[in-house]
Amino acid sequence: MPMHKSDAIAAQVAWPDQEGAAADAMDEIDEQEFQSVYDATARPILAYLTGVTGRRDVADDLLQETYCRLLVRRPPAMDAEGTRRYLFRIASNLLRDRWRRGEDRAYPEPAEAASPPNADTQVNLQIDVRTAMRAMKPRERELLWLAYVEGMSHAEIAEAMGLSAMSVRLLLFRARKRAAGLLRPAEERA
Amino acid sequence: MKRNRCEREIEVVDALRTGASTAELDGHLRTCAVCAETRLVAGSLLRSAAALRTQQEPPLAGQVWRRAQARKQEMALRRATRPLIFMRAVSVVCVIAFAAWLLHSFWRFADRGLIGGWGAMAAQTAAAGAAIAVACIAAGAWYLLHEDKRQNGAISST
Ligand SMILES: [Zn+2]
Repeated sequence: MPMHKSDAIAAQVAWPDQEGAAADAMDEIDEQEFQSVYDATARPILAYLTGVTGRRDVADDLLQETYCRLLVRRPPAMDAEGTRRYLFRIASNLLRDRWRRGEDRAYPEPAEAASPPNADTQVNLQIDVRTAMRAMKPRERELLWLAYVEGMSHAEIAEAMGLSAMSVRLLLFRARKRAAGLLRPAEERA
Repeated sequence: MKRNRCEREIEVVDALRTGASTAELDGHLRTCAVCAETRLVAGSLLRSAAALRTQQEPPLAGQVWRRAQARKQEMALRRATRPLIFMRAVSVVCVIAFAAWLLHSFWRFADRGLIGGWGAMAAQTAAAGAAIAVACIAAGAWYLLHEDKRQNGAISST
């Protein structure tokens, strides 16, 4: 399976110690350092945002805002894995803010493939996944993505989504059941 | 009772993510409904995610970097003008307090009939005038503070 290993972040970012310090300390992270963090993490985060919102334009905007906040907030020094988790946490917060404001809660309808069914397995799979995602709640989409695509533990998901680990376990179980019910007919068809 | 959790779910997800499964785990997948369900959902999502990661080109890092730099400048500007805004608020409070004190003193003098040569009517008219003046000052002060807030809001929303 062609998977990008999202934890293969090359650079360890040495963030300034004080979060409340003046923003000009941000200069300590140079553009090149940022570039290496971005190169290692932007694709998985963009895929997450697109997969969960179903909209590329929204995903692009949220992606930029995610990195903007990372640079402006300057969290304490953390390793590559910590940076990746922190970025997913910001992205999840942004998604939650968006949904709380009532913006784009609805997942857009997947575009029908021009080719006949089963002609292109990859296209059909994308449509099936999008159809299933569309039927799910925003929080369920996030949970499934973080657990199965990003391989996060319940505790990591809880941290990213601002939930308790117990709630994550329960909600993930329900979401998985629902998703399986939606995806099974497609699998049997294939 | 139907099980809804299996301790090997994490293994299943890891195997799907890394593409490295074992014959033993494959055997377990054939008998465990929970893990089979996990494989269906996780497998579909992983394939979809892999496609998205290869198809989608993220915005250029430089573009994001510039956006952060612009944000940084806005924040620096806001920080720099913060004392100015504070002083403005303090001066507004001082003006209001002074006007109130003035009005109060005036009323006391008028009440005691200490304003020489003025009739009661004239004193009342003057008091009303002073009250209007204080109201105008308060309205002006409120407007100034409101403008400050509005400008700050405009900066933060960019
Ligand atoms: Zn199992």
